[in-house]
Amino acid sequence: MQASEKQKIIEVSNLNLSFGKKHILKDISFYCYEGEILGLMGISGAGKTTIVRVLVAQLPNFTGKVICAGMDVKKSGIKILQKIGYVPQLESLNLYYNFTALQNVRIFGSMFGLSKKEAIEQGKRIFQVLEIPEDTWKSKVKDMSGGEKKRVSIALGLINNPEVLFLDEPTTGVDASKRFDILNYLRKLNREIKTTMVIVTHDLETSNICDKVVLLRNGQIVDFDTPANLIYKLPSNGEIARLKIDELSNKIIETIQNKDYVKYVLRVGKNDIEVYLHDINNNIKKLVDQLVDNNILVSSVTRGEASFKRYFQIRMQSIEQSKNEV
Amino acid sequence: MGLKESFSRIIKLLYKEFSLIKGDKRALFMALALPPLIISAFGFVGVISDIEGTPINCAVITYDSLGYYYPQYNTTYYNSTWDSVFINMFNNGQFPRLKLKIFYNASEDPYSMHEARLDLASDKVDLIILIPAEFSEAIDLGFPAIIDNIPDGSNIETIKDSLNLMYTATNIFVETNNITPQINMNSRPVYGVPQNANEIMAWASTISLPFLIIGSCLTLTILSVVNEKPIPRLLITPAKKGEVLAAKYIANSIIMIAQCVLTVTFASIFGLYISGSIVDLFLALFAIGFYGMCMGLLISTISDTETQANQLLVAVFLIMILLSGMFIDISNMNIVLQVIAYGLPFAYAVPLISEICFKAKGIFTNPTLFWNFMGIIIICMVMIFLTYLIFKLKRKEV
Amino acid sequence: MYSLWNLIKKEFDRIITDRKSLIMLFLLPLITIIIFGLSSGGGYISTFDAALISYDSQSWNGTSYNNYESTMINSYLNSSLINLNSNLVFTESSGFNDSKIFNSLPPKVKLLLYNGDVAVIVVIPPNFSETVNKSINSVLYYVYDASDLMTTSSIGVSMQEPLLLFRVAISNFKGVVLAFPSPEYDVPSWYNQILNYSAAILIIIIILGTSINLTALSVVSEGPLPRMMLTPANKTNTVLAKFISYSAIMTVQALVVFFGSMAFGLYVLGNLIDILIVLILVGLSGVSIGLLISCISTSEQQANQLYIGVFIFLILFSGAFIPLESMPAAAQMFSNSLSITNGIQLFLDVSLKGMSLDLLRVSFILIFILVLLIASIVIFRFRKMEV
Repeated sequence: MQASEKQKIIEVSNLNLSFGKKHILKDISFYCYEGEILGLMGISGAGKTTIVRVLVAQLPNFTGKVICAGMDVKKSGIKILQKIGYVPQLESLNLYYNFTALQNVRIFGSMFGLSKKEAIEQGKRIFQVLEIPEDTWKSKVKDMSGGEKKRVSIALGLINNPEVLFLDEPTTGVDASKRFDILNYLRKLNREIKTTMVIVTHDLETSNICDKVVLLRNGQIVDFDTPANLIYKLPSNGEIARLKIDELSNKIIETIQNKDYVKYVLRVGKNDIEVYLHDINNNIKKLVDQLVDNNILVSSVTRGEASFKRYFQIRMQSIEQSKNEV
Repeated sequence: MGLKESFSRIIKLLYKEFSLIKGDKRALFMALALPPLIISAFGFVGVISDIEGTPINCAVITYDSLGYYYPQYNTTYYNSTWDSVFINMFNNGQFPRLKLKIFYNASEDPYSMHEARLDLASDKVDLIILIPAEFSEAIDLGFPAIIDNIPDGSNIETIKDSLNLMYTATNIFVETNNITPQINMNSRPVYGVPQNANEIMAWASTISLPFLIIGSCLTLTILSVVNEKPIPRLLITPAKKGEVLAAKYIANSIIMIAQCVLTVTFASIFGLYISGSIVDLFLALFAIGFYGMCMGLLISTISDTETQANQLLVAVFLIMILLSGMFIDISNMNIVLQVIAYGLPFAYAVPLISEICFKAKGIFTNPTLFWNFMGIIIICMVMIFLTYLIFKLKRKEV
Repeated sequence: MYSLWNLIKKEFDRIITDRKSLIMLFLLPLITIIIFGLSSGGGYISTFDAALISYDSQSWNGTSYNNYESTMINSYLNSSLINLNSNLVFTESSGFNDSKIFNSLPPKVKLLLYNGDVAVIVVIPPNFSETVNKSINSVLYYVYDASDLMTTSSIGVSMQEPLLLFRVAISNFKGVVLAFPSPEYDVPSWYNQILNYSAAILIIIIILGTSINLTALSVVSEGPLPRMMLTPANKTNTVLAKFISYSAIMTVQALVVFFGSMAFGLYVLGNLIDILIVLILVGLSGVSIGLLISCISTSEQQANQLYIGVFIFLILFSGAFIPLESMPAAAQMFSNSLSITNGIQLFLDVSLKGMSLDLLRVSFILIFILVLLIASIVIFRFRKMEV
């Protein structure tokens, strides 16, 4: 395997953390190779941010083994901060708004012991990768656009050429088109600077750029794999049937759901459903025939790939259901 | 016809204002609890402390026993009775508040004055009393007998105190020893604080009541506009700018009235002296509180950020205090400063409160007081107008 | 060391970009000094507007006496401390009531006091000329407006002057015992007395107020600070950097106050450098108080309220408003440990007494600063900061 030649830059095994009697993180184990993008995903309160706070040595009272940027967090403590970068969710918590972008770079660079020249050089290099317009470099951050602020914020995270860059919800609060841009920039950075990235997010589209994802729920790991592998775990290896049915009703959905070869049905539009069935090659025809027999008008049938978002929905739904059944 | 809708909207906006004020528990606490607490502190100090009884430590030096030489008889006349009488009275504590700490006899110790001055410099004593040579002779022969009174001048209060106390002391000395003829002044204070009232509280109240009410109304309202992020959103509903402001004035006025009532109640518990009508006192306080509120809302409307509003508050408050007449009598100020002082509330508020409390004047029966009262109201009106104008002109974007 | 230096540079950048606060910092003290510099008055002897009413009958049991009434009135008219307007001299032949003097006065005279036109009414009783003639004790009365604290505290002394003028006029000094004031360490009369008598309290309070105000927001208002703590920047250095840079700004401010007050006629008997040292020491203590407030507070609003609370508290315990001697022993000790109390005393000692710096008080201030600074660092280290 290609990956085994690489170093594990993050390795967490059997991480447990409690605040008083509250067990926050339960037996967390995952790892990540150098140069990869790791997504920590889950709904709010799942424990994503807590894991990052352990990794950046802000919560020392954990048990288990935690290696970050090649250092044992327990032993190194806050020394690790020299080797990592961090991009908070809110720019106001990261940038001095009254300073120019380059001033910000200089200040944060100096904290890592960079000289003014080094910091500015490194800053300009990243600004160029992130395509921040050169004429704004010397204007105050408060006068920049939202997208530019975000990119300056990301650049600050990279100022010390960190081995691992942590990004907290980089796409939250950004509109759809910008979100796409930011993900593109992150991928570009990952390719050009080869920084390992850990992205904490509940935005499932981010999985598109992740090499691995950790799915979390209530402080426990639900899944840890590549997004492709996870989708592959769905019935028929993630292949789905999209049906357009005129006058779609809950009753019809229920009928489909009750077929023994149908695993899940998701309504995705007014007249559209996605059907996850076993052995799609044989069963799709069977399903359509049965529907037609029942006088249900199927206006179109297409086959396609399930998205990660769908995987997440189905996975969480099934956990909820199994819990309810117990 | 729009009036009715406008009215009902104001009622709803009022509800919003109260919810906002209630939501900020700390600000509400500051507004309602702090003035009564501080006024109670004054009252308490007035009840327990004995500032009048604080002694002034004295060093007394006498040069009197050195004798007096009569050239025409070629003899030296020794008479030192009067200085020892004076010193004995001093030592027996017959002079109020003056405490004989160190005594020097200059006829025995030629360095007395030098030592006494060292005592003064090192704060061992606050006052040197020097009985000159020929003190007794002057009294016996009918010349004015002069005692040198050398207070520590670095504190003007000590100078004033020593002047008053020595004046009393010499009177007692003359009277007790029946040195005639005396011409005395007999003082008859009127409009003062009666014996049974809390004196410190009474003096403090003329300045501290307006000060507290204005201060807490300012802090209550200073962030009211600048802090309310959804105002721009609110303005794209049918609510009008004037209505939003009106609701703020009304809601805060109600808090302010509660605050005045609480403060006066607490002050009364500790023996606030009010010789006039309590209704007039409340009216005056309401006007003063209203001023604080108008100023607070004006600042809040002018400011772009919280920080800016807070800084303006500090600056405005400082200038108000400096020009209040508390430190410098307004008539002693430069003419420009006087003009500013009369734009500030204390120039009106202090006479209002003191005339009502001490002289029992009524706002509506005494023209001077009425115009003091109207002065505050007129300035408030100007401020409300300005606030409205700025609020209207300021572009608020969602 | 390198990190500390960079943090200091960052603080300066921040302070300089916050122009509005910076302007306030220098403007406030100047405004204060200008207000006091442009005002006059404030000496320890006051003048009072007076009216006079005489009931002197100049006769007794059919015997008429020398007219001492007009001599007395002239003494008042000539007095420099009691301003008697000749229009306000009234004579009455009857109605004098020893026990209810004010109530028995004619209404127009009473009204003068009620309306505040005069502060005092001098009353010459019916038997005045008689007593002076017979060389027995004479008594005059004065009714004053006691609702004015200033009048109450200094009218007695001012009333002595016309009496002396009268004694001079009748050339009889028997029974005169005078306490003649010659204050030591006072402000010379040719200096601006109102500025100088209040200078110690005023300047110390202003320096403390502005320096606390400036620093009270330095930690809470720095949004990116928690993020900064995810770099190798050291927490102790962060607090120290703030202390050092704000102290530097404060030093400039102390210089402005120093030269500003010189320009408006501050009287300093002692060493000028000593005054400057006192200002800077007090300013440093203000910076450390502000830092502590900022480290404790969780929001700007809270810091501001704490600032106002602490400031009122400091002023109350400074000994300037309630004399130290009248406080309980514990409160006195506490008050003596505060930088404001020591600062005011040092300023007075140097400016008016011409003494050199009292090293005990200086070390008290230094200890005060150190304790607060250490407290700030400790609190900052334990402060929960989440990005």
